[in-house]
Amino acid sequence: MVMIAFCLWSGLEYRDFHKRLLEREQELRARRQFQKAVGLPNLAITTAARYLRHYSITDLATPFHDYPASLDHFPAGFAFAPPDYSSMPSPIVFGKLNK
Amino acid sequence: MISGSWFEKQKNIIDYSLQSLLRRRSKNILILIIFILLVFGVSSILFITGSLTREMMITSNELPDITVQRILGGRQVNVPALFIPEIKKIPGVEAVETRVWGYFYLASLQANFTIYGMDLDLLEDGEYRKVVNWKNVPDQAERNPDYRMIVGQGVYELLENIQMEKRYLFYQPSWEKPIPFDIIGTFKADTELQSNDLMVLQTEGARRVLELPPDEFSDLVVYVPNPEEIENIALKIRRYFPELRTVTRAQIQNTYSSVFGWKSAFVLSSMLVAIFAFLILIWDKASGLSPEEKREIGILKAIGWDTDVVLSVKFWEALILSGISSLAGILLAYAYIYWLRAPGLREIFIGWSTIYPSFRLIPNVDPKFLLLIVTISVVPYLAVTIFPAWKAAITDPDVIIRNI
Repeated sequence: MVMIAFCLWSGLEYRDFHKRLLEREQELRARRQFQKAVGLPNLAITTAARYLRHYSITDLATPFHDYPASLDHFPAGFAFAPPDYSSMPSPIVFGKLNK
Repeated sequence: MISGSWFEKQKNIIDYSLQSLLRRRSKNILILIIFILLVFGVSSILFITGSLTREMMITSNELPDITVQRILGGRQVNVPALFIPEIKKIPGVEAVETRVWGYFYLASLQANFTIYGMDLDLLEDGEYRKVVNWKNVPDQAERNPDYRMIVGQGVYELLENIQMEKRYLFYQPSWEKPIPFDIIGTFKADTELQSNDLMVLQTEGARRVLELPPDEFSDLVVYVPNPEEIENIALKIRRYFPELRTVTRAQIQNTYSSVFGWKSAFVLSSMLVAIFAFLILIWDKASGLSPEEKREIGILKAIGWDTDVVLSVKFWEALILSGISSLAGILLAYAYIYWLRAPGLREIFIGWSTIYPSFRLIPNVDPKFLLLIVTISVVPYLAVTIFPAWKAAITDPDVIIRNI
């Protein structure tokens, strides 16, 4: 009985998984078009603060005020890791670069 | 009892293991529940973060090659137009486009909208047309084409509550009078994850709302046809104009892929808790068998069972218990994230936002995740169940039975 219930349950979720993937294929075209039209990155999952909404192109000093990965006072900030600062001269210096 | 083919032998052993599991029902059910909860927790987090990462990555190839911002005093400021011809001169740059965008905070609804300025005529033709649910616009909208906008589904629903779904009045206390905008359409629900909080305004109107002076832009977008050159051109832009900051598409993709990685406090803290809980469960198992279980092994040995058969029994017991609970945990997590849309967990991501999407996520059941879950649940559990049983099984049965 338990085995059969498990098989049914897994089967149901497996079917659902495939159905959703298929549905998404069609949806994806719209989303790619949208992304092309509006070039802003990131998902609209949180709008609590601007540096969480457009998290990957945000200011340098606004998110993670004190140091990279420092805790944030917005609850959603807790869920994000610091963005990629790899193109910054290391260490992060503000001002003119010495050529 | 133990004779016949290998399969028959294993069948009999499994039969015995099941009965032995059922004999200690209350204890095993407790282990099962804790095990299911642990696997459920770990896989829910892996599912939701995996899905969100995938949702981000899926459209990331359409992002602009280089985004150029101007940083002044550690803050992002408007970019004056004089940078544009200079950047265009760099060999390899195909086009430099300007962007006008920002945020608008509506205090009465505590909502933060993203305002994006573009030429809405662009959306009206070709492939882009399908992204928008166009609405019948009253004639007066034709009269001021600069003051029209397309909004995301979330914004639309919010505006419906305040009866402004046809025409929205932007207002700031410092302005003399509000600026009315006609809503000529909404973005389709398919694009909800990206467009939910968005108001796409005609550029001239967006300039008014964002109070952007003429000849200044929020940021610039640089298109480079050769992907090999992107890094170099970004470096050149930074070297020529030290106050500019570049964000390449590869960097945004990097950010996307690591956003819910181990550095994320949420993932790290929940994973640590789960792993420690597993360790405690396993520690309890490894610290030895109960006297009752020891005596059972002693009796089995005394009536002539081999050590390897005793170990098989224990192996099957552990495999059945951990297998069922891992499967149930994963299935429950799938149902929780993709059918129920993660109530409780999604609030962490939404935070204090007023506008948020419905969290209908693309399922991301990666074999890698499943393997990870099995490795941290089933495998250690199997190992620590068999080890004490082996220790009991190689001891003289007489000693074990008398020791009780």
